Amino acid sequence: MKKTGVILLIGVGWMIAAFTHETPLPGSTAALGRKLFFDPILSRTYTISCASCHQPAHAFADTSAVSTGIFNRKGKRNTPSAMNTRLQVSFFWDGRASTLEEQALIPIANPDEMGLPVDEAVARLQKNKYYRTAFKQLFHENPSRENLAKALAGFERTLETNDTPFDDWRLHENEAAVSAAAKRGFALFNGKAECIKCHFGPDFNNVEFRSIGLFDGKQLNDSGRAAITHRATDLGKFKIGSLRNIAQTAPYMHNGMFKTLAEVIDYYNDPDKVVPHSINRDTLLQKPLSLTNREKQDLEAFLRTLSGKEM
Amino acid sequence: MKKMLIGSVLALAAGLYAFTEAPHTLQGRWENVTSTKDGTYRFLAVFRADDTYDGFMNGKAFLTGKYHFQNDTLTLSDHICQEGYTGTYFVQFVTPDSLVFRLINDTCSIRREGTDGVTFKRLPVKP
Ligand code: HEC
Ligand code: HEC
Repeated sequence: MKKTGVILLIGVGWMIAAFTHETPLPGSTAALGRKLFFDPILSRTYTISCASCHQPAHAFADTSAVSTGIFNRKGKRNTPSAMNTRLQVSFFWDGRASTLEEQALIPIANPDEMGLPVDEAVARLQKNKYYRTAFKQLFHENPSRENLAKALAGFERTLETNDTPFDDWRLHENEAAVSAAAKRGFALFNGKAECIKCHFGPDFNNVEFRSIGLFDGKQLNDSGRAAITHRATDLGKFKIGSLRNIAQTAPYMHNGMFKTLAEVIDYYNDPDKVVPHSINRDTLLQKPLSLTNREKQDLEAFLRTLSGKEM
Repeated sequence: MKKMLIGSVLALAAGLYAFTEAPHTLQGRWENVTSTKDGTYRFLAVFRADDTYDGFMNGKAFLTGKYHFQNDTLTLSDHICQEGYTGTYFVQFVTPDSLVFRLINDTCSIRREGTDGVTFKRLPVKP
């Protein structure tokens, strides 16, 4: 009897503490978005947040080939970094979303990811005192699909990386910022290895969908962009991966099939060796690159200069 | 003595010429700022003395190439557009510190879109 009394009292004490200890309200849409990004309230089981798969320590990507959602469900694709999205014009490996706002609600409802219908997610936020107050303060209205998407996208737009050794080298003419190997690698990237023909722009990913040959209709059967456009010419085409923070986001490609950057470079060097019967591979990758071991290392050294200081 | 005199007259003349006829220089840092509802986009172009140039978007380096600038005509070549595909632009200086690029001819459409008609302001040299 006495014991339950004590437990009850502790319980009451905890409740008082929990309700009087106010978490400070976010001061901006991005700060609210950050809180939501890390909050499992948006998943059916209250166990998975955006950050379960988009982990800050891995440049907001994860370390498994394909992602794991609620009930340990395996997704079909590799988790891309949610950083450096501000200058991009399409999202997902197949580009099926064209704004960050449109993108943000899709994983919430995806049964393999967070598995919670968006209207239910919004209802949860409306019932939650903290979120109700925060949304009222920032958007002057209750949580809704639109402002939930705006908050998440607002946070993602803050995740830009422009302080890499590569940027330091080019912008400040700081020759010591990158190694001689990385400089040689940059020349290869622009020249013999032809990476720049696809990987260009501020995030090294252009705006196109291309096929590097990871589709053979058998073991490799994700048709990519073709599932969206229903065009045979788009078979095996995927969004060109951004290369900022690339050293932190292994494994690589839409299916996470390469564990290291060295494996990626070996693939580009001679695609037929890895995927012999690929369908619709880009003509740029028709011939082996014939890179020497030293050239492969230089290329990798260059790719490693594309990570931000916080990484 | 005579030599010195001639030398200083020449220097003076050169100084006067530079003062009155100062040819515009492209060397330096030029910025275009565009604001949209999604925020501000800062495109920085750096033209160096060694005829190389770099482009940066919001501080992200993404473009390196070679340029040649003479008599207000600019020729560009970079790795994104095929090598050998050069673009030629007329550089219209609005003031010595602001300019507009006007297309003369460029077979590379991405570069054309990002250059033709775009206005830049010179950034002060860093202390
Ligand atoms: C279970 C793991 C998982 C969770 C949880 C998750 N994502 Fe993702 N995310 C992925 C995968 C996998 C993809 C790629 C899917 C595809 O291309 O079809 C992706 C793609 C993205 C992209 C596109 C990036 C690009 O470059 O195209 C963004 C942005 C993103 N997610 C943001 C979010 C946000 C915001 C949340 C939370 C509301 C979230 N994700 C929750 C796994 C996850
Ligand atoms: C024909 C266009 C093309 C060329 C050339 C090309 N890439 Fe790619 N790259 C892509 C596409 C498309 C993807 C995504 C492919 C997929 O997932 O199936 C990609 C993905 C990558 C990735 C993984 C991105 C991630 O987040 O998983 C890396 C690293 C990479 N490329 C590096 C390089 C290097 C280095 C070179 C030069 C040796 C190169 N690429 C040449 C189009 C290209």
